[in-house]
Amino acid sequence: MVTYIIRRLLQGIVVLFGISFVSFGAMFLAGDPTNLMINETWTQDQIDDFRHRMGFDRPWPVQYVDFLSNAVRGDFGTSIRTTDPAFSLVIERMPATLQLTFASLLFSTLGAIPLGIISAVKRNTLPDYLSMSFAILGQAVPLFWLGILMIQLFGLQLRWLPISGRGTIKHLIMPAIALGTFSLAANARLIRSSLLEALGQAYVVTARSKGLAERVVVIRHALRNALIPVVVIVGLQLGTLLGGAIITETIFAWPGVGRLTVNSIYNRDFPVVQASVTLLASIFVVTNIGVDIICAYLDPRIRLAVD
Amino acid sequence: MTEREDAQDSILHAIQPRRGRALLVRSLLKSKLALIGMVIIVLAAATALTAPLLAPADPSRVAVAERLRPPMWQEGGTSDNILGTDSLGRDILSRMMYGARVSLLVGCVSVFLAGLIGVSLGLVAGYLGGWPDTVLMRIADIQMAFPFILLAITLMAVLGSSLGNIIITLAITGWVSYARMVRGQVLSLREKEFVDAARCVGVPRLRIMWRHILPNTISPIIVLASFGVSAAIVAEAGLSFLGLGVPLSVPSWGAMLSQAREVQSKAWWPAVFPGLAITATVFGINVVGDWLRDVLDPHLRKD
Amino acid sequence: MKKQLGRVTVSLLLLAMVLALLPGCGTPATPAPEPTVAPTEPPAPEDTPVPEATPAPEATAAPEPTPAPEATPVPTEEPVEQEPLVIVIGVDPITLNGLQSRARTTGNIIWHVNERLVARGSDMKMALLLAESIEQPDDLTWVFNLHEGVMFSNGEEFTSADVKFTLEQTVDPKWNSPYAGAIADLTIDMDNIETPDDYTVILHTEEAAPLMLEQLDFIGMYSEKYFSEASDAEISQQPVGTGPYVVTEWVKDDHITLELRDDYWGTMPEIETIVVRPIPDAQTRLAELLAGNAGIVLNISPDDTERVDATEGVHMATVNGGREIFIGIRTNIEPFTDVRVRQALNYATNVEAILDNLLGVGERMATGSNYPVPSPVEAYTYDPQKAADLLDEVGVVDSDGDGVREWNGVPLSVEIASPNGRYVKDAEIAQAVAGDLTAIGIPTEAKAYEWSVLADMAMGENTLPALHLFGFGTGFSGQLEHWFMTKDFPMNTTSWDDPEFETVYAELKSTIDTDTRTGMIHELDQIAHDGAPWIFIWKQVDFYGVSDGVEFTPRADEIIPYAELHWAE
Repeated sequence: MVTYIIRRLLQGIVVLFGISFVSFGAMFLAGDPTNLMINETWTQDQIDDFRHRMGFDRPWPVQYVDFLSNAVRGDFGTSIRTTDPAFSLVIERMPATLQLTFASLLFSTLGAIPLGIISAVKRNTLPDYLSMSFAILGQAVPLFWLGILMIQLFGLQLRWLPISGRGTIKHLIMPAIALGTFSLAANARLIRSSLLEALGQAYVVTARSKGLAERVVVIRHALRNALIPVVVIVGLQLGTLLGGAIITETIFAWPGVGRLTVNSIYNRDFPVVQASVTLLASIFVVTNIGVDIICAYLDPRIRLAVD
Repeated sequence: MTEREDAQDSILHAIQPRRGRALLVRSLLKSKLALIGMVIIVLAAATALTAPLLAPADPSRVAVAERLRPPMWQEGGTSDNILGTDSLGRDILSRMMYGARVSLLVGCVSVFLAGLIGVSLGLVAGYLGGWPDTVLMRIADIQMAFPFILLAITLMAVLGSSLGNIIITLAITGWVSYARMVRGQVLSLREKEFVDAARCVGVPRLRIMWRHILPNTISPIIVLASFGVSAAIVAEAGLSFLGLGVPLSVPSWGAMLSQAREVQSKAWWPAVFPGLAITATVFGINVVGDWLRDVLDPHLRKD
Repeated sequence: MKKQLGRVTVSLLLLAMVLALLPGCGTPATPAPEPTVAPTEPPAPEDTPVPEATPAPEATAAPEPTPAPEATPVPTEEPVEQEPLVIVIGVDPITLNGLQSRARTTGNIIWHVNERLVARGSDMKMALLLAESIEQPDDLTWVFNLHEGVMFSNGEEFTSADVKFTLEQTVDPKWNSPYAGAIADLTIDMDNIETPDDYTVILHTEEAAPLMLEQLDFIGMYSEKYFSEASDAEISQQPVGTGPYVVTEWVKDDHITLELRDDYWGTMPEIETIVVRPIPDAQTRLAELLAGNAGIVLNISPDDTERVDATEGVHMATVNGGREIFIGIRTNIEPFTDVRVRQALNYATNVEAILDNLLGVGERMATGSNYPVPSPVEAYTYDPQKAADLLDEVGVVDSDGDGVREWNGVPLSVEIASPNGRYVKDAEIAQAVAGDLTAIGIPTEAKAYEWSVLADMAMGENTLPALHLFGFGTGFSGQLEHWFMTKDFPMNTTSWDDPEFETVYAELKSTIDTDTRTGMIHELDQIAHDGAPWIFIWKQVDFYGVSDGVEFTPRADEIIPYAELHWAE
């Protein structure tokens, strides 16, 4: 088990290196930010001087190695637009993003379980059709549109919830639901199919033949196994959610990392982009290592295979 | 292809489980939801194919003086613009028809490319194992950890926005699930008797992959692809919202919906029609995908 | 078995819950920013005036939020504590260090904190602020007499040393200040800034600098002591100035709180607390306005003005702004090298239809300057026949009758590059113009680009397409605006180089006399109009949504004068 964890951690580090490399390369291809910084009044000398001071005139592998050697010491440099440290710009917005992402993860997972169970157990009946139609619709509405509709309905017409911003738990409800709906739908469908698969397995048949109540069979025997792939998927969904958070943060004026990152990409603020992409990816990687460990712990088969 | 190889193949295929097409059709007719979905898909595809013949107007003709005309059944609407006009006076019906083209094109081509990349890499990784497997799976991990929209923004910033670039972006961000799934399938298939048998009779590696392993992964690929198409259609709408969508004059449902935001307090029709189209099409594709999974997955076929 | 199921669910729950709640605790000291979102608690049924798009007039019998004294449980007898005034903007400032950003978002915060020597008044004329008087013994010498007893919010007195320090910091490469060039352009001798006493600053320039005051309008005054003590991060987040307001809280991308200083040296403004909230999406901004959660909301879409005006308690306020929206024509690409072709494009563009239908307000721009003395130059009018005649005359003709004009036998095909959402309805304007040009036989396609991409294309080697929509917005001097059309302007995307224009502009730069300047500026207006390096569109109208509870008159320079705001009776 320990070697498994160590191996996963090492893999995670490789992934982080890969990500920093990819984002650095992509940003480099996008061009250096000098043209965006300078204004009417700069002379060519000033421009060259700026490029030189910022180190944009060096070959990119040099820039990358320089970046890496600083980054491993936790220094992502300072934003090229302001003198703020890139790392702290990202960190101060991280709580908002994590709160939103994990709240919607919670919503999508907890909401999906009853939907999935109902439609699997009542397969091909009205409840199944209803909950699956609901789930499929949830995947068919673009996130930004869902957000706009929710603001109009719950924020403006009914005045149940605050329209935008971050503050109380009430502020969290609409963004979390908007962001989580797609995943909720996906999870509900996944739970349905993996539960159906589990219900067909030999051990469930055995349990049934022992005369156990259907409720017990479903919840105790089938659901346990059906949830394992869900746990794995939920970990992976974190990536989708962190990405989707950019749109949600824009619609609901949620002060998270996503908006910062998008603006930094547009402004070619390399250090901030690097810092936020690396941090977001780290969260993803660490969470998924956690998920894998939980799965290994829960499922004896995986545990044995690992050891 | 030699006769000997043909003989090998036919023996091996006989061992593999195969299903009849007639069964599929019968099952489709039995599932009402899937039937509805199929009808929606066929309608959308037919519209996409025949858009130039059916569209009453040039979808990109701008006429600001005619902007935001309501649909013809509302007061102020005319039969020239059956579904009304958008914020630049363009005919919504015509844009919807051409939009079907663009949206389905984006969905299908990006999924095809993603599938092509993912399946090939998955096959190679799974079958060869060893370092190619490790390298490819780490690349997949990197891809997964990089939030899709960030990658899309970066790519679009580098490549610029065009229809082709959106497709490339969606393909690059979509291949991983195919690769992982195919790799998993290959790992389990590699040990099955019919593959062993093929190896024993001396069938070359590449051929084993192509003729014996790939066909067995086809059904989950189809299921995954169907969801991929619908996800790509929705994702394209999201990119449009962020200003990274198709070029302005190109009609896509996602872009239409996104552009309709600005006039939503004045007019409902620029948003509602493309919104319905997206929802209906995605719904259709997903129910058909669900049905395909139920039918193709032997575990779930209990009745 | 049972235990294991429990473990699955429990660990799932824990994982999600802990992670969802933990960050909430780690929030950087934001004690319930309730006031930012203003009255969330009582959604009192009576102040929900049916925010329908089309509220039947008689149905909106709902009383105003303020009256209905018998129903409101809120004790509003005496203004014990003022509600904060919420101002909703589009994007958060990237810094509050005024040396580092020329963005209006930054200026709209810090210029109420870091006062300037001189500042433009609401009438767009320059007025004294920290300078009590200005003398010019000769064309090259400027004497600024400062107000005495003006205190920075850190308790230091504002003196001539701070002025000298501020100017030096502005040209310090450390800050990459966007205003460094402005100082350089004034040809101030930086080695010879005299401070004979605490309240006198003498600047010497190498050349006459008629724009001295216009440029100083951008330079807030900074405390030398504060800069020497504070870290760069503090400087960019907690500005210290002499102004009436101090920044008491800044939660990035969420809100900035400004509080009135009780020891302000000037006239005390009325509004005590101002909360500035960045909300990027226009529809969300609109919703906050309609819900009554904001005092002033910037950048309302012209399409939403009807809905705002139809809603109780809020109204629209517009102003003809100083931002010039134009479509640059690259004069070094054939056939646009010919002035008649450029004029034809102006005649072919139906700006009036765009204004009437798309924007609802505004007028067609005649010239490129915002000079307060109106120019006699008249704007182009929509005249497709004249456009066609001009094109025929040049030889840009449709010889094969397919509706597409050819130049040297090659059918024309043109692109308009435009940003998307940077200016009011920019991409839509570009598309409408493309439609007009297509109609006279020049097939044109509008393409939207991310601003960074456009800026890249414009700078260095110009790779913009022949037509490109831009918006410049600085100055009301008549000179800065015309600078955009000179050949040496670094972002001269049109490559227009008119010798007559250059000569007059060069003279204008060193002319002090106001009447002579006015004549020259109008002459430049005429040359630019006739030379048509741009398709002149409009001076952008700025759209603000305003609560009926606030008295606010928008300014043409996009600045919100906090000190001049009032609560409405």
